[in-house]
Amino acid sequence: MTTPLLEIRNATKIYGGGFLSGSKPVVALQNFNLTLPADTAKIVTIAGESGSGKSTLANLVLGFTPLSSGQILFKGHDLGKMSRAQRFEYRRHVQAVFQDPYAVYNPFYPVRHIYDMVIKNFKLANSKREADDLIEDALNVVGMQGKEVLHKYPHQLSGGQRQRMMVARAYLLKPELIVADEPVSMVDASLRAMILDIMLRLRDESGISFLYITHDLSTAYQVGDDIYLLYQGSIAEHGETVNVIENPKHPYVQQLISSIPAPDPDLKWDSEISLPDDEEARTRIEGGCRFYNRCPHHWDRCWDEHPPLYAVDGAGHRAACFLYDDA
Amino acid sequence: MNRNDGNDAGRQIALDVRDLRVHYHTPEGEVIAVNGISFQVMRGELLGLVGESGCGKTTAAMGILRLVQPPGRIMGGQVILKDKIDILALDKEELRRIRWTEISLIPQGAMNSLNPTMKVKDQIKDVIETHEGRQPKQALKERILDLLAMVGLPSRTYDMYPHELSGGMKQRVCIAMGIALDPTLVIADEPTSALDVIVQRVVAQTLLDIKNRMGVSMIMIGHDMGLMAQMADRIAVMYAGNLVEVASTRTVLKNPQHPYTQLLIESIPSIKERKPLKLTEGLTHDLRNPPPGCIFQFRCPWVQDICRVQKPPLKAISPGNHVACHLVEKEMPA
Amino acid sequence: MTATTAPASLAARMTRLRRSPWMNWKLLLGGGILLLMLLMEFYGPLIWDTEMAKVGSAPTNMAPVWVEADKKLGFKEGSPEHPLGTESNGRDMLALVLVATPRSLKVGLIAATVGIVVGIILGFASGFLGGWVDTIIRILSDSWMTIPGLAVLIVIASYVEEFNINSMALLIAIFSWPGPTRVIRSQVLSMRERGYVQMAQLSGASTPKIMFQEMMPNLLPYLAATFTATVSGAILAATGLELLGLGPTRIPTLGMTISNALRSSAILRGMWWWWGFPIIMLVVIFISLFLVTIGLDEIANPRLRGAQR
Repeated sequence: MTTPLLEIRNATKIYGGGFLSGSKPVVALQNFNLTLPADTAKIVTIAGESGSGKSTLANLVLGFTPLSSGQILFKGHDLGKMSRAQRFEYRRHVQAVFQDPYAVYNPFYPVRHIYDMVIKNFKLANSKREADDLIEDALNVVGMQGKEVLHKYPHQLSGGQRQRMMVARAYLLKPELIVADEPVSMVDASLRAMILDIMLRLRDESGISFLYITHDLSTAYQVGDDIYLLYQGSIAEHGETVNVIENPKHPYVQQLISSIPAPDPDLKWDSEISLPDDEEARTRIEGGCRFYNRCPHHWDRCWDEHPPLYAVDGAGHRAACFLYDDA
Repeated sequence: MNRNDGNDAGRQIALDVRDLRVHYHTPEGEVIAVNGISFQVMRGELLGLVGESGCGKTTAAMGILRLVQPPGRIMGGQVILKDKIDILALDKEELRRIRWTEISLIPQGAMNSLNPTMKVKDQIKDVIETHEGRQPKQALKERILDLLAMVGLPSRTYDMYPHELSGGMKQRVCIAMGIALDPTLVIADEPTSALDVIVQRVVAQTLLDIKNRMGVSMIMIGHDMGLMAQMADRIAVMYAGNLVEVASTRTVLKNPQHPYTQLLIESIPSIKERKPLKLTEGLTHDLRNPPPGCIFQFRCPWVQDICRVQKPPLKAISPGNHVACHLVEKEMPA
Repeated sequence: MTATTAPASLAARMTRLRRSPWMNWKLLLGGGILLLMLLMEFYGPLIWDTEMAKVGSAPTNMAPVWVEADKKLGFKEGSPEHPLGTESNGRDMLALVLVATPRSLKVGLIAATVGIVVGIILGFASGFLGGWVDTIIRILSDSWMTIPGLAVLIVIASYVEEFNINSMALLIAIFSWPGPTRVIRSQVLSMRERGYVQMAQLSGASTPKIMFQEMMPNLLPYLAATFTATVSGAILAATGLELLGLGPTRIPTLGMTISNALRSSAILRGMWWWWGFPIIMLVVIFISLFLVTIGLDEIANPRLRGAQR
């Protein structure tokens, strides 16, 4: 069995609560586990709403912030123990595409700057001609041409163009993994398909795996191979995308999927739901299931213990809910 | 006061927009943001105004309320409220009087513009007293509590500060402020865009609830077709400053007539079945130089010669359904 | 090894220079005027006899050349020998202005430059590194700001025997570094979270490169604004010291001239040229600084640049 590409073991991240800070600790991510194989490229969706911990996960995998406990192993190497040189090398293999297609560009430079930076720092080319070819090649992969866009400033391009150029930048290094943090949520609906299509092609033709982080289950349904649904820092359910979305088992996921407005006037939301008025305290480090207050099925046990992941049908589909405890 | 009886034949027009035009004067030229749009909103109806970024839907809403800021300017048209009042022709004082009382706005990101130093009760009190003068304390308190109940908020919200509320609750406070003076029409600009899916559902249901109980008309601006399907009675589709289709929700979603609407509907990612993705290009012309003829000619898969020279008018093909396309043959007799 | 420049490529290089974002007319105009004023020290004596700025070198109380005499107020009519008039100590105004302007400007520029350089170093360190470095620098700069600068300057100045422009400038610089430090620190803090900084980290850029290549250009407007404010503050502080007689008394500066004028009741005596011309020079200085700020703002923000073309 080959070393997996990415292995996240019991990752936990707690913010704040330090000696000098005045605030209570916040558990952003708790006991997160995920494995990406090295021999197959996959698009794994990490889905959740705001506060679910998905952006924290992106920051952890990209090395922007350290873990509070647990490990992240890339091809067997522990991210937390890497030296500066190793971390630099890491960037050759793991790149990112971010949500805001405007903020990632330095408004002072023409857009070519982002490619030049990568090529120079990682010594991808020996001459300007080579660099130009590399950039042109990457732009073609995303359906664009250098002479039309490279000299322009970020504000002169559309959101869709900027985002595609971001993907091209990530592709420049031919990484094995791209962390895409909400890559289409700030892009127009009719242009999203283009970017998602690029992701699919990169997976199939270049063997690049993706961690696709999003709150939009519809796009996840279209492109994800596997899906992990997070709720307030913990995995609520995970499995193959089609399976989880068509047969959700966790009460939160069920409520979530039924709340997605169907573009069909004959399929209205079936019932009125109401939210409890209090936002659940996220500072509980110990304690039970985070969904307790909003769950129609909760028992006392749910308040005391945090449910582990139980298998709900074959094929790696698991949900963190005592409803599925067969014991 | 404005209880809607749901009587179709006697349906009154709450808002009649005629040939509204808004331009932006920039150093690089004049951008035609809203290019002569016309539509109507009936009493008690929710009209969804959809389109992608840059299509002019927010600018149109600002035009209706006369809130367009320079370098934007309203270049022409009429906006007639309740068959009587032309908003674009009012003087400053009259305009101030009808804002909030006859027509109100829940702007984009409203929940982030609540005053963080004032309690909820004071902010609502502000809205009421600015337009109706000082109110007796007890009556005012009851009125505010009624408003909060109408948007589904518990009474203890009365005394809370915005930062103590969740996103969904803050948005509902904004809705309460928008309906506080019982207006004829409420314009909601992307009221749920920053909210999580489940919270979005609750807020959307609140809006529908209010619409049904108060009989208030609404224009809801957005780009989520799924949400429109759940909430809107009719949908108006904008592209690059022009209205291309105005029709009942069912027609727009199940049987769209205009090629752009068809494109939008096809782009909706489904959660029921996996389809191959439909790829398209974005806005392809400069908003300063709209081409002669149909605004959609560069992206239309069925473009004809006539489309390049003659701008198709928005014409009715059946009661309540209008399309601006040369290829749609049937026209309803006048 | 000199290469022969073919005419075509020289023209191309000229065009590129003309189109370069640094060729911003506001920056060039403002910077040009300031440069002109600084160089007055060197070309001043070439165009006018600057020795006449010394006391007693000209007849007293003469009006500028175009003004009539006024027996009632007691000043004589002007003459072409002293086109801007003279003041009651017998100094020629034109010479005075030519000598004083570069001096006052130098004080401001030296003090502000020292302040900004310290501000950049400490502000970047504080904002980017965070942790205890940030805490120490922050405590230092915040508490330093509470010290009444002028009072301390007065005490120090009263102990110093000989005062020249440079030492006064450095003295004032002691109190002009906390402001820039705070401004730069807060800008760095907010910029640190920007998308393009994260992107630069992902692209393998080292920390110094991120600071200078990514953050610095976007800091330009803030640096310029801080610089302008510090220069003005320094010139005013210098004037304050001179008013109390603590500045270099033998070498005239603009501030000192104005305070002399006020003390000699020049306003009552109608001798507007005594305080008028120095004020005009100060206004020109501040306007030039302002133009430089706006020019840098346009350079740093390409969106504003678009309006130019």
